[in-house]
Amino acid sequence: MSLQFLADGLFAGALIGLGAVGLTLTYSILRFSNFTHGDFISWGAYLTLGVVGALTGWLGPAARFMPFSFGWPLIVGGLLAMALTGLLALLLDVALFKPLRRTGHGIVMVIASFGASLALRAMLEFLFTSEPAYFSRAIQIAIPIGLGIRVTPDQAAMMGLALVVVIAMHFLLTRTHIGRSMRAVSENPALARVVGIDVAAVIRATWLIGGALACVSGIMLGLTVQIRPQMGFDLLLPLFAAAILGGIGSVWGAIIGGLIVGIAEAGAVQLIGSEYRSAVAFVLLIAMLLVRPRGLFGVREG
Amino acid sequence: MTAEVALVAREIEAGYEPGLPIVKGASITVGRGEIVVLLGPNGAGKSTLMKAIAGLVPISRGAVRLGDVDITRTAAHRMVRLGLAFVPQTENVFTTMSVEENLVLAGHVAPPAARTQRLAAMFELFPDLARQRGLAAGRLSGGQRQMLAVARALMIEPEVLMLDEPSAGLSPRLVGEVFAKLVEIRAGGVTILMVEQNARAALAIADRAYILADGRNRHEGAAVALAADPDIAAHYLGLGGADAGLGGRAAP
Repeated sequence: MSLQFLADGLFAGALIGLGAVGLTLTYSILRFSNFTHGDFISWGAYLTLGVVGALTGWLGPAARFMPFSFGWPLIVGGLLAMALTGLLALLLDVALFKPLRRTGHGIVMVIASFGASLALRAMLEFLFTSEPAYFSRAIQIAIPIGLGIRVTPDQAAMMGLALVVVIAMHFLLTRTHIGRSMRAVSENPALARVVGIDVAAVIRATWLIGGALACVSGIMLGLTVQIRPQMGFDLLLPLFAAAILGGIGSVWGAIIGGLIVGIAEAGAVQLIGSEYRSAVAFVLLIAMLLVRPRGLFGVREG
Repeated sequence: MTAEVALVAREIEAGYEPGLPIVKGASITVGRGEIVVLLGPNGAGKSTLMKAIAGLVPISRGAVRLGDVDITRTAAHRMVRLGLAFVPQTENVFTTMSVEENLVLAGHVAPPAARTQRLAAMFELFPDLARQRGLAAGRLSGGQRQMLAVARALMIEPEVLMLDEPSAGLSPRLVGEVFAKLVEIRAGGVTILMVEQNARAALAIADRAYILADGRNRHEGAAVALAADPDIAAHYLGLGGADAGLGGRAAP
């Protein structure tokens, strides 16, 4: 059998993992399942597309970085879109979640996020139609890297990007005050206040970072597959599976959970057929909740 | 007793839900450099009063002053910058973080140049913690965890240190160690206000005490006088009797 599924799974897993990092952070700090997180991924991809379009419209088309399909506009546009997606998440919090947080009912926030998710998706369909869009129509030749595995240059670049982002997140959470504050609020919000942490500021940082990471997932998916208004929502189940598999609140857990989900899905496609692909995340999720509800790297409550 | 006042709470009414106060008009005054202890039966409102002063429970009536600053409506996270540190009774360290991370996190309010020096000072005051600096705080023993919670509070070099039952869950030997540390900390110029169930041991190191009941002041006075009062002893100090022997070791 071909080992290609490993490469495909690792790539899908890295993408799912990055999305799940944002989800696990918002889940542990704000204490609700945010269904709009998938739509942040879609919005991240479309915002990047929009900024890249504006940049090339303004400055003219730019040369590609051979052998990749993209040039500097995607890099600059991606960075700007990460900030914009973070701001979108922050805006949604100020307009919707913050007023609801005061009611103290977690389930109200979950349902509200479901509504916001529908609205965000409908807005994308209205603005861009549901026809798929592409960052580039350049054809990528997959390069053999041994053991019968082939990867495109774009996939390799995006894997490198994912690695850089995860390492940056690790240092943010372990070496900076805002990162330690995020971990503190996630473990014990009342004690965090006692030690002088402004919880409202931590919540703002969490949305900005979660949105920016979702945007990176959107770029990875958009560059290697296509951009559709549904793209992020379709990822929601794998995202939750990865976050719960890894243990809520754990960044490395979310990444490893993402890789497990990605490789399992790709393996299932090869072994039992693509029609069972989406069942894989469900099965993993249910198995984990039955065997070890706190996840691989989660902390026991209490 | 010193003339200068470090902390005053006047006729405080506070509770978790509007219209249902747990503290119903209690007043306390803590002089600079004093150790003052709040005693009283379960449900007297001692912990709630502490949390209200710390900004964690809303105050519906009354006023709190820290030195010359009115802190009645100050948000909890601003208290450390004003010099008020609080050690809650339970869940008072971040268990998933290392000992050192707990201290560094709390020390963030200090000017950058002073942070390393304060960390070193804490490790000198608590040598046990220095040996376990890399260990997750959740894996510390009960006594070490309590020491870490106190060290964490001291990282801000507070004017006033408030502790909610620092002896809870500790063996008599550890209670003695924690209280001896508190005496040492007071000697360093920190004013201490604490709630205690372990009344006799607490009175042995305290200058003054307040006894609360049903959210109001019931008795107050010098610690020595309250400890010697047979009426008070019969009503409020009964549970602490087993630990009475600690007094000699922990007293200043």
